[in-house]
Amino acid sequence: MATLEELQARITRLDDIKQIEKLQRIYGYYLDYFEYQKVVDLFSDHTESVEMADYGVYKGKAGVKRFFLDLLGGKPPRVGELSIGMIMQGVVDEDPGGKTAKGRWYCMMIEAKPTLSLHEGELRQLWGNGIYENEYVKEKGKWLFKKVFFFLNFRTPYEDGWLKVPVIGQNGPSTDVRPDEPPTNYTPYPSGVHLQPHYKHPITGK
Amino acid sequence: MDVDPAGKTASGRWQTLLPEVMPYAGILRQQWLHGYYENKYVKENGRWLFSRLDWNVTFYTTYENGWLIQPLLGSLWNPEAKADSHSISFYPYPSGYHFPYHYKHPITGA
Amino acid sequence: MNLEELEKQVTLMEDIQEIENLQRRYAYYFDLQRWRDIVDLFSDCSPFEDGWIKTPLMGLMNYHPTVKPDASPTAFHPYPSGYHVPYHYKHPVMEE
Repeated sequence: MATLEELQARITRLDDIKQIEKLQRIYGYYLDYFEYQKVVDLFSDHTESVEMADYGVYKGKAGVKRFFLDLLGGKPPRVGELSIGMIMQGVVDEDPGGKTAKGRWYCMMIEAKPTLSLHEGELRQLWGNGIYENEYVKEKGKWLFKKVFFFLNFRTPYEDGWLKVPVIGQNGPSTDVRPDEPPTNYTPYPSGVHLQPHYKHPITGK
Repeated sequence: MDVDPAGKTASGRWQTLLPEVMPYAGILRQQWLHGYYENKYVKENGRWLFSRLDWNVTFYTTYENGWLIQPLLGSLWNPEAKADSHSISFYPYPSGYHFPYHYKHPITGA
Repeated sequence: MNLEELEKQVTLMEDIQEIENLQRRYAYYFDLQRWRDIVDLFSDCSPFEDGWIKTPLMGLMNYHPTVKPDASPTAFHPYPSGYHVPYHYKHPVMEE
């Protein structure tokens, strides 16, 4: 039979997973409403990086601020702009030690965005899909983001669909708010590239 | 999901994407709907139940058109099922309305 | 509550989390087309039924000519049949 200490450790681990799931969902809801400062405040001061689609790698907390506040939030959202990210199917694995964790999530996007560039061009209605492989860190009893990596699968006009027009509106790294490094893995559909999970097989261990 | 300290009530924010087929003006239409929930729950006799269901519609569109072209197919209000009072926050896309959160920022507390 | 009861409850919560994750990992392996890894998620004595079939309009993707199932589908009733996939649970409040 387990001791009280062992049970407390197991309860803490269960609670950690729930807190991380909650953090990830709160992040998604803030992003939906373009509340970028609130998103930035979910990141650790010792963040490693944030990288999404083909924007490139933004390093450290400074990079996080530049990415969300200067790049994505460079202009206020236009009338008619819509950004819904349904973040789901989360598999969160805590590392031994209980201080860090990793999570894999799907993001189903329902958008109305400009496609000439991040902020320019006529609005198009879009379906999007991608995978997050994120890392989290526990600081002073709270979980924050340590690393966000978003792998784009497709981002297609509503009228066309992913087979006909797999990606629209991704125009490479910005030249105004430059990333610290180029994209590490921008290979959307139909590249056939599968973003592998952070976790090993739960039964075979491979 | 946030359970209040006494453990008797809770609040939850969700979102839902609905592929539907419903009659509109007498004709069956295939539709996409999206909305956010801000619900309240209560624990009674050891069981959790809904105490308030609040679904805030983002868009209600036809499959043929999509949310940008036709954000609101029509009213969702049914005159035969008389409501007790009017809706208090019906501001669908593209109003830019932010359906308020029940929670504070988990890190800044604001 | 004594220690034994507490351990039972903790184990139950861990089990639920693990089962939810098992379902999600399965779904990721499916999208990654890692079929061997999916097989290794199954116990040795489990039937497998995949209603992975397109609608009559698109063409049925049934019975592979060489990889035959052991039995016919138990419940293939896509839209617009009005079929309701039966629940495994009773109503949580009314218990029906």
